[in-house]
Amino acid sequence: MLINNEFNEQKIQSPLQYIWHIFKGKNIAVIAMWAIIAMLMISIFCDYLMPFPHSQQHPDMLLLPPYWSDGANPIHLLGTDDLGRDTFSRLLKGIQLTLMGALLITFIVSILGVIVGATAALMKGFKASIMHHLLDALLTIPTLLTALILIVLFGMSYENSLIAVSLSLLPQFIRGIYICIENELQKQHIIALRLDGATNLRLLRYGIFPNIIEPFVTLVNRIFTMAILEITTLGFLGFGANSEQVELGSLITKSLELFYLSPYLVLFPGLAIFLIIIIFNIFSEGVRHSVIEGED
Amino acid sequence: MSADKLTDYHLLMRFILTYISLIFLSGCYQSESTLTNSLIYCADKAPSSFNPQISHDIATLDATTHQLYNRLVKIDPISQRFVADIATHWKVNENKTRYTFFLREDVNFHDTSFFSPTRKLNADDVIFSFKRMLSTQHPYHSVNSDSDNYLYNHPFSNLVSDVVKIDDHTIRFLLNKPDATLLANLAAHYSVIHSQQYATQLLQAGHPEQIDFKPIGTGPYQFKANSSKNIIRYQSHKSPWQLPANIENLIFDITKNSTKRYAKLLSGECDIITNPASSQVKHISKNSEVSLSSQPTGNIALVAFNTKKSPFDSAINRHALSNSIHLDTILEAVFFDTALATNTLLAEHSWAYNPRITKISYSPAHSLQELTDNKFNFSQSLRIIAPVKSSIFNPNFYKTAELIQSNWLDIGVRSEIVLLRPSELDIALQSGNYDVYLTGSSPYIKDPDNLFRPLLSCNASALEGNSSYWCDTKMQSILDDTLLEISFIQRVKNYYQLQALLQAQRVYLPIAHLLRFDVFNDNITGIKIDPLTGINFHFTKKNEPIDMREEQ
Amino acid sequence: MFNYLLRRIYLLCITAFVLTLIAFTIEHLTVHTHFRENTFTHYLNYISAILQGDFGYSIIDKKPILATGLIAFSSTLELCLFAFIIACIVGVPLGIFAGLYRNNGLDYTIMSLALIGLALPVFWVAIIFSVLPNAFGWAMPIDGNISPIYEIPVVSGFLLIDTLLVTQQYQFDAFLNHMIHLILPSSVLAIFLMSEIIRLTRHAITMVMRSNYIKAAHTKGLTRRQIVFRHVLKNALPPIIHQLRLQLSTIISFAMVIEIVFSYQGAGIWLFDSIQQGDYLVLSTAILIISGFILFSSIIIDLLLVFISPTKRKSLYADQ
Repeated sequence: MLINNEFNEQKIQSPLQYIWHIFKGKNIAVIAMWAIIAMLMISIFCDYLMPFPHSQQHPDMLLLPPYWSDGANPIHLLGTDDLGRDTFSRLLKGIQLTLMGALLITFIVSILGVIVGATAALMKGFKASIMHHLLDALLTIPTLLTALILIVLFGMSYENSLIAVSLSLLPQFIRGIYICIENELQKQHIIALRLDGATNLRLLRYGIFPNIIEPFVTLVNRIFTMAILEITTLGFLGFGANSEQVELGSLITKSLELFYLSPYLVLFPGLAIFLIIIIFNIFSEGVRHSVIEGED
Repeated sequence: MSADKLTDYHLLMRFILTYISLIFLSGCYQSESTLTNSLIYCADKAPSSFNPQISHDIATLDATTHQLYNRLVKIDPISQRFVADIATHWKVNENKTRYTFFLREDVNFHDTSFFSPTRKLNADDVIFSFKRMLSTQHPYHSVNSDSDNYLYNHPFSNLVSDVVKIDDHTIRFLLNKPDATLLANLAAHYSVIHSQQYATQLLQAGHPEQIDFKPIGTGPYQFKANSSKNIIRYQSHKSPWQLPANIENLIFDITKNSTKRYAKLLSGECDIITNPASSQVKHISKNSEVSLSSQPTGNIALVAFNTKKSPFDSAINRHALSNSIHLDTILEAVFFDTALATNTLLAEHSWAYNPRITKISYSPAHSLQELTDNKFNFSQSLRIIAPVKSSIFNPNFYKTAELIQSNWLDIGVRSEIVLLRPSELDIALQSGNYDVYLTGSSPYIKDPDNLFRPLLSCNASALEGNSSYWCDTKMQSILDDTLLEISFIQRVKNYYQLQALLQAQRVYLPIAHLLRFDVFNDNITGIKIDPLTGINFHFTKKNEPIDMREEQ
Repeated sequence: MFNYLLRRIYLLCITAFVLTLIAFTIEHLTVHTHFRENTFTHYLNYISAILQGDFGYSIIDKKPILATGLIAFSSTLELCLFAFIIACIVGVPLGIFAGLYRNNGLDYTIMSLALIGLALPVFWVAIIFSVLPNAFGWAMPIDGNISPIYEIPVVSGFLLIDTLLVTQQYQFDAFLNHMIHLILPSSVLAIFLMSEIIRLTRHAITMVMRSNYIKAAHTKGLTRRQIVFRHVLKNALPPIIHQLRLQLSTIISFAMVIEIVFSYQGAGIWLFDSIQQGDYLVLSTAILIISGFILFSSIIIDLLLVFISPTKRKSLYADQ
């Protein structure tokens, strides 16, 4: 727990700083972190970064292949689709919709999930058991089915698909948090805190939360992955974004017909989804390992 | 420890090899294309019924007309003359008002699990088939159809006054007035002969509507089952009176996704497919293992302008906005150059086609000028409606609408695109709450009246085809007069006049005439495709696949 | 033991009750929105109808929904089973190797493969797989359960069994044809299952290898092979099975998406077609069938775990 800076002083770091120090030592995770920051920048500023507006048609340059194939026009970096729209711009726009949507969902689910999960874990009695049974029942329904049903109930649009996916992932997160907190509650230091007279809130703030960072990170990672997969699946099935909005799943559906003419139109959005998920996974694996090592 | 590692690696390799070898086992799998007594045809839509008398969509025709049924006469494909089918010969009286047909005596109906005929075909069956459509008192007239439906009995109700039986194998048609088109109508896809015995059996059992869904006919294939989703099974006729079919099992596999259909053709799960995606046609034509067949049809994709509301109630606006749409882009982007560019509603091969129509030109600047001169309201947003799903007129309505929207935006006209499901579409058409409607027309008879009447007649509602809400007394009188006109030359002159009027008024903007494409493996021979009446598998033969033949 | 069973059945009933509430709310909201009758009596009618097996009739083809749903879902189960077998055969050995040679080159390769497998979007991989065989020149079927040439009467709902019952007519062709049709979709599902299994196996093996009794076995002089086969596998199994049980609903979600891409006639495409055609009655039945199955299999797996894992048995007898 000591570092040596150039003045030979010895400084004791707080746990968070120590974890950060360990994290910086893992090269791959740091690369992933920069990649995530880059993607976030792209998503937020995509409208300014796009070479062409994503819905602008170029009727004279239909179905161009990417710049490395012959017959391509280097202006359109990754080619064009069947209406002459630049693939690269549409990819960026799609990344914006998908990534921002997934981050929003993860954020909402985390906040709501922590509140509900903590309340459920600390509650006892009849209300608690009702909530547990409801949770158990919700957990047996596959998340895709829940999202489908909610979309059918709400109507099909991009915003509704975000709401539907958040609601379908909420039980999973709550269950995860609940189990973590339950495990923590068995430990000695919680009992000590309680004997000290801590209120529930104080218990959570000082006793439980600092110790469940590692499972929390795993959970958030899983929820993010599932969120992206579900948003894109709903878009692919046609239940999410409508025809005007560009979302990575619906991009794939629209380009399926052209697969034999230009397979890149199907390959690129899929690769984009894959890259987003894998970069996030590497990042959170890195964070998780740092936390584990830091708590030793 | 290293010895352990080595054996562990061996174990790992063994597992991987086992799995890969399992995949290679699938090489033993012979795809369905090697079974020569079964033919799988992958269509894109399910037929709406099994009776071409009441359903005229191409999916029904493919499934029924040449497979299940015969007609009194048929058209010889080589000489284009009328030859005998069920009738052996016929006589006409001098006034051309009485046609007498003599029937064959050896025609058998299908013998299936739900019906066994006890006699051969005779005049009663012919009378039943036609009386069902003509006589409103007939017990089967209203079965499965809306008797006010114009298309149901159109070709016959003006033409034939009665059908009488002379004896068991002779019948006579009595016409209202002398008409030379009776034979053409009897050879068309809707003049099929049903079994009267079967109809009586169903009526007694209390299920008359089954006649159109569990059909009995005399054709080379008989209906076996339609049990599972999207699969229709046929068997070859057990006691055929014509040349028997070469295929024992005919299967229609309905696959709605066009990429999937083509992939199934390549993987051997389909022998023949229809209606490939227009984007794939070029790619398919380069594939040497399959053959592509293309036939011109009368189907046309069009843009309808709602002439009841401004701005399209003014012909100048209609002309201006039509001339600002770049049709070549639509042809390339939506149809991938697989449709024929056209300026007129009638196909070029029709006998009434007027070759002297002025071409539609693309002149956006001129259009803008005309619109400003006509005091067009540029602040309004035009409402373009289109169906959600693609149809035979247009593989991608949304793309067409996007291109039109972008063309109009270039001259400053704003518009919004609304895609509607069929139920919503019907509501919108009836209420007239739209400015532009992307649609098409698919005439099923070669007569031009069949194309123009639903589009232009005052009596045709928007749901029946007149989505422009067009009503003009001059055009109506031309249409009505020409229908009853005997002199062929006069008919041609009338239709020329009609087309000239259409050009001037620009009621509809034609986009393209569509071709019918079918793709099949090289080992299939004998498929006959008539773009108007559907596909004919009677003489289809499936040979051994080419690579297997080489091995021998 | 009996107490445990009783508690599980009690939990099962409560969960089933809540499920029927959910199913009922959905049906109420989508189909019967115009009904004015009392919601409570409506619910009682609904429950009594379900207990008699009447789940309503589909708007589209007028067949009873329960029958169609069960047949569709059994196809999904066949797919999951096949995928599970493939994933176990390939994934478990790989996971064991990864766990044994931890932080080695082999471990990193296998773990990156697993990471990639979990990050790939399901439908995209399914699409790639459906056009890949043709790119290599193989003729693999990509559509449906079985070729339409074979007419298989529905006896048990499971095509694997039904095709074996028509051997008189078709010999083994129908069965083989069905198996070949199963290969591509289950390979796609197996990729995800494999990745999960590799990760879980590796984690479990690592945990077990660190425990004291393994060290004791080492000092006893057993070779690595003997340790693995005699001690490690049996002890690593329970946590793996436990985690897999939690993933069951995700596996079924993925299976449904794969079915939609391959047009494999399972629950996924049944639901998809019904929703597209506006037949919302199937939704509540689908919930009951699918969640009911997951519930039952969770309980059965729990019982299985109790049988094979003495530590869980111990927790039964301890006071809860």
